[in-house]
Amino acid sequence: MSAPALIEARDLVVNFHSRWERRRGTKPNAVDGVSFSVHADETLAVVGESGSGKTTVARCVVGLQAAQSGTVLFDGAPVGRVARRAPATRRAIQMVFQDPTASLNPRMTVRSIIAETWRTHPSVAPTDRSWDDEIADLLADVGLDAGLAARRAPSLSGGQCQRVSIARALALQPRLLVCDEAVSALDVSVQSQILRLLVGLRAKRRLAILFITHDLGVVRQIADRVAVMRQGRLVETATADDLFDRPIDPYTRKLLDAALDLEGA
Amino acid sequence: MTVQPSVTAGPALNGRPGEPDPLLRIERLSIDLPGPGGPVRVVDDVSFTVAAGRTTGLIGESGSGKTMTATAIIGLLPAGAEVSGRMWWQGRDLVTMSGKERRLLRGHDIAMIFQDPQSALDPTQTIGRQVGEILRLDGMPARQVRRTVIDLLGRVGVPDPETRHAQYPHQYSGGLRQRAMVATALAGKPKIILADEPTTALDVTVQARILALLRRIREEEGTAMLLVSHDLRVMAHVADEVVVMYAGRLCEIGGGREVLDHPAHPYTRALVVSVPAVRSKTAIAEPLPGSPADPADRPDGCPFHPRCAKAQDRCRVEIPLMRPIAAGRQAACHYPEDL
Repeated sequence: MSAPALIEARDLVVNFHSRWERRRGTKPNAVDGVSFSVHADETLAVVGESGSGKTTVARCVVGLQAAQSGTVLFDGAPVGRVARRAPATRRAIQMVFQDPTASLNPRMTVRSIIAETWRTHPSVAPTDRSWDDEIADLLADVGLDAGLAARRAPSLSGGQCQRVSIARALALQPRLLVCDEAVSALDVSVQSQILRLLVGLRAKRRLAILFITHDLGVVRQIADRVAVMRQGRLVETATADDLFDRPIDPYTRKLLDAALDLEGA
Repeated sequence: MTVQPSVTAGPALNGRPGEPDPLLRIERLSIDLPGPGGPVRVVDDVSFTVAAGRTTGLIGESGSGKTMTATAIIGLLPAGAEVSGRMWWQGRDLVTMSGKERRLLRGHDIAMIFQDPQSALDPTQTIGRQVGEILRLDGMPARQVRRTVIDLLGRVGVPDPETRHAQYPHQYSGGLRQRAMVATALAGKPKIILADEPTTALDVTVQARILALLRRIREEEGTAMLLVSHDLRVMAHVADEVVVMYAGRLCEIGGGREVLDHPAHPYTRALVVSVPAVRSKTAIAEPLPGSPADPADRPDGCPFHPRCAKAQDRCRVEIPLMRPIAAGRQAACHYPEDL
């Protein structure tokens, strides 16, 4: 693709070593020289087993985790930890977490959860109409009834909570959505609702999506490109079709074989 | 036992025709749990059988009552749970059995493997001590316990069991911990193992190996298994028969392959098409409308009717009963798919 990438990671290195471990230098890095880019209106899936470093990569992109070395570029400009980012950058990169019930404050109503984002970022708060109207539209965008705005998270189902999390992210008009195992905790019948929602929103809002998951079936359905991680390193990055039909790296093949084996004949 | 007027009798289920008496026969099992607004029926009029040496898969999403059913069989329901119906274990009813008798079965004839080996193992005790607990309780001499534990760990594929039996859970990987759980279950020489989502917390490469282990154990030891899972891929791999549940009620029973290849109940069908394939690119499944039924607020008639595309007026008022629809197949649907 010739257009400049919306987000680019260059040689990210992250470790969680104690000072003693660092001096000994025998423990591997959690993320070890990872580079990738995501364009607007594109979904990059990062796959790997537990401990491969995929969540740490997501946290670096959002700025929840500082990298020991390497840079994250947003629109070509380096961005650091979230606290040091300009409000416009912070707003443009939003995250949806794995556990939908744990990522919403149980004591706040859905309305105040969404309105809070506008108080933090007044630049995108609706001015020409009431906040309640805008909240109703956002909830409709994610397939929820406007009546839900007055309810609190504990009275919602897992799928509804996840849609509220997505609505909260969308309220800030982000350009990149980072989804860390966003559908893994959901039942399959609810999972397809959320996936359809994400694909529809990507087209409608020209969103870039960084989709972290271990589920190769979901990746095949929604990803344009796939990055495979193993022990902190990227072993292969390819378009989804190439990766599934013509995997190059032996580890990618092993991962695919295991998934195909589980799928059976 | 009081029979509620809305609940109508289902036929007693007799495994496959010509089979001897099954190992475990669940008959019209209902479970009520205390809730804020009065008791909630989380399992409603469920009947199925598990034959000796076979694997029965219990399929369902969250709130379907599948885990509660397994928990009732092993006798670990939370305090305040009301159980009605019958659970025949080799001619004896688990529901009316005394606590002492159940304790004797638990860990011996009936063993359980839990979803998360991390929290099912005690971090302060060695793996060997936990695997051998039931043997020690039975009064086996310490030296023999050690030998048996090492043998068990070797059989479930823990490498170098001579040293690893003395290690603690944190020194085991997720897959090895689940192997240790299988060894713990096998220690009491069970006739049935209840496995609640045994591979859900594991990576895909490890999942395949644990499933192979479970299959091997069934073949080598002849142990029956009740496998509880929401993962149809796992079911297709190991289940001889499957039981599909929705909102605490039965949807469909039949041979594993037949049900998953040709589902008769619209809910089973929706589950099957929702599983994304790895082999070839599939479109994202047409989602079911609405949310999964809440057992505390179960719809009248068929619990699945608000989400069912085929629902008719009859489905809104009349609870469909389990009935035979083909050889070895039963479904609780007024309008099942033609098979």
